Amino acid sequence: MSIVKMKRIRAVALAAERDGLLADLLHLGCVEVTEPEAKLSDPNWMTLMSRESSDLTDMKTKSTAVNAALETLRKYAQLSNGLFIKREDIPEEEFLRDEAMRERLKIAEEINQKTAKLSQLQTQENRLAAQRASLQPWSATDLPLETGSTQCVKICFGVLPAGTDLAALSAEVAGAAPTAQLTEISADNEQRHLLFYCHKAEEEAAMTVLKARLFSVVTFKDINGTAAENIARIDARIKEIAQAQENLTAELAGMGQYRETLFVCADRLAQESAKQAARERLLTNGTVFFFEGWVPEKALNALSKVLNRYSCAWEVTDPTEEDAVPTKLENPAYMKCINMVTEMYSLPGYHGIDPNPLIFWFFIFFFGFMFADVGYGIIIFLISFLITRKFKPKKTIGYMFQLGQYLGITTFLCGIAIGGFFGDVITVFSENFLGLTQSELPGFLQWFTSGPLLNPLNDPMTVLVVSLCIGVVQLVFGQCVRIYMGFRDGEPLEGILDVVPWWIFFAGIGAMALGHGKGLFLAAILILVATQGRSKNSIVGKVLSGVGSLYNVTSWLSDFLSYCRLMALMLATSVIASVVNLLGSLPGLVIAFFIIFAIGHTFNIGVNIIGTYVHAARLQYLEFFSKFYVDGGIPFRPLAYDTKYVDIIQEEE
Amino acid sequence: MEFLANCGTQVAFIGSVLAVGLACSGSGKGVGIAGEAAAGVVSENPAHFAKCLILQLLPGTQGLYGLVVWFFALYRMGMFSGGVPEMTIGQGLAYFAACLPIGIGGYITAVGQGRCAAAGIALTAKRPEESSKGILMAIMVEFYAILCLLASFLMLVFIG
Repeated sequence: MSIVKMKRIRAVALAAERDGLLADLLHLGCVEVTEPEAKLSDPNWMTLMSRESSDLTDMKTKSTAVNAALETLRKYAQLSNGLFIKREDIPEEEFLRDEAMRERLKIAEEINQKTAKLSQLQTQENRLAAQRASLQPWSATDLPLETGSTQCVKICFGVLPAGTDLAALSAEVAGAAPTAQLTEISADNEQRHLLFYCHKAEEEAAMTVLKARLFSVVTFKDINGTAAENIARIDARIKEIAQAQENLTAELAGMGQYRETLFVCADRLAQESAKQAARERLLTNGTVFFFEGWVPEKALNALSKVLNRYSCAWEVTDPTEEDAVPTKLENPAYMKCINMVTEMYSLPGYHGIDPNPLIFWFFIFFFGFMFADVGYGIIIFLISFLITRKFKPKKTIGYMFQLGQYLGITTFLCGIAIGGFFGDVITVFSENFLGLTQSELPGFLQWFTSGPLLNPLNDPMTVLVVSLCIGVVQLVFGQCVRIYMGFRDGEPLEGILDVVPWWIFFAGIGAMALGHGKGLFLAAILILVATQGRSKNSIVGKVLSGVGSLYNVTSWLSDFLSYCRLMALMLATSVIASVVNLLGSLPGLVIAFFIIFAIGHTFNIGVNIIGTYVHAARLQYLEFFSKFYVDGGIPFRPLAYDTKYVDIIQEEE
Repeated sequence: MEFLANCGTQVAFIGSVLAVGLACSGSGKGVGIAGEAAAGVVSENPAHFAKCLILQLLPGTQGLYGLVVWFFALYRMGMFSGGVPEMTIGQGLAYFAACLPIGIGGYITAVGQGRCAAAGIALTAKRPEESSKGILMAIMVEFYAILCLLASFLMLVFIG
């Protein structure tokens, strides 16, 4: 229910015991080791100590290798993660076994080698295929491709553009070089492939004619034998490669069994990386090392037991006003899920207040009010409940589905209040398919469908007034929190003077509206002008600031009116639901009705759930928080186990 | 002149067509803008496809709202209970006006939301874990489309 009290810890210990101490801190999971920025820029400290080195890069390299291996397994062993990762339990000792990690790193290495070999084979195959394609047009000739010119005869292979008229060209060449012979081997869309030979004496004349016709000579590097022979050889090689690829793929698929162990390895490396990152924040002079950080007050006992096991000198101090103290929020288990709403905006500053218990009830009520439907509420609750039961998701996803259950319940309750069951499907269905008008329905259904408390489609004005009244309640509550914070921090007058003049102002407006005259209103204006500028120094500054604060009445108006989105979103959901029902009733067939019903309402839930969540949250962030919130909190990130694939069972000491 | 005095039905039709046409055009344009950004991000990193798809789909709701208003306007005019209705020019203009908010508002908010979603997709590319903040920013725009939908819908309810 609160922001956890933090203490600053500073410790000096023996460098020889460093790894053991870090491992124990990781196990304890409650100390955040901070960057020693102040010390780094202090020359006194820097003559004594320097930054510790670390194996972080080494760990990161190993981590990348394991992740690459896991990715390969996912591709070739065809295992998928599914929507939720099923987390295995593992005892801490087993998790920390170095031997096991070495074995697993070897397996990852093996997998990566096989992947590299596979891509090598693929490159080879591509190259061979290209070669084969270039030899294909020449396969019709049985002349070996390396045949060069003899002593008297020039022999060469060449290509001409596809459209060339061979007969005419031959005649032309024959005119220039009577012994020349041009034989076509093959032709395709782009080129004609030819064999050309002539007596060496006539070579130049013939070539001149041919070059003018865009004849270009083709030579074959490193090829012996006819094209057909070479193609056969290439084919055989390609088959070999394909077989090798298949074998490797099968081996990799077989290695899919190591996936679980690699998960453990990946998590282990992640923790080691965290330890190394912490190590980088230590200062050392070779014999001793120094670290400073934050620890929650409640964990001091456990921490002192750990530190006393080592040769360690340490001190604990309270944070000063200037320190950037990290924020950790402590809440009862049932309320933890609302933290994701707070975190989406900003954690509270250390000297602020924990907003979670304050927004919890408001948020789930607003969501229920805006979504208000019995049917939708049941669906949301069931989905969240079943997923939580079946997959037991942890952390953010787990909180999301826990919150989903609460939202389902409030949606259900508000749905009863406005008589919404999948919109107005009861009346539409009974009128069109059962032939009953509303007055002929059984008593309970009649009471329900006419909206027990509110009826948004028939009477939106009442809903609007209710929304605005809910808004007033939340705004006044926010101001009371401000007054409480004033008392808590020992500045009661600040809290009261921020809030009460505005209450008098609004009371004054109310009095004027009721016809009791302007006295209270004018008094309120004077009080505001006098008190709202109290933080300025000069009299003139105070008065001007006070007059300026009167302008805040516009922000009050906007905050107040912003709550009409409660009505707007409630109506939006009801409107689309009733149109879906109307569409379903048009064809006149029950089957068509149910199909349109299913598709339409699923769509309605999908589209509106995000919008409702966001706007319910937005009302907290902008209207409610602005009355009392201190934002800009830094999250508390202790050196602790933070695993993705496994759950570590820690032994109690 | 006689035609002008009796073209109420036609004017009402024009209005309802504008509601669905403009809103769907806006949605199409907005989803397209977001899709271009998504294609760029996915070409670099296919793992982000699901997050980008969610962001791309966000500007699509205005088209649906336009269709809802079109359908409801036709229903209120009496199209579904027997043929094309007869209307005076005054009534026709009332339906026309009622369909305008979602048409114009839907178009402009959809295009705006498309650009916001495209920026959210770029945000997801740089910081995949913050994609929910991008979604939040795009949803802020959609609120005004909801207001337009309500304006059109409530006017259609109270005209007939």
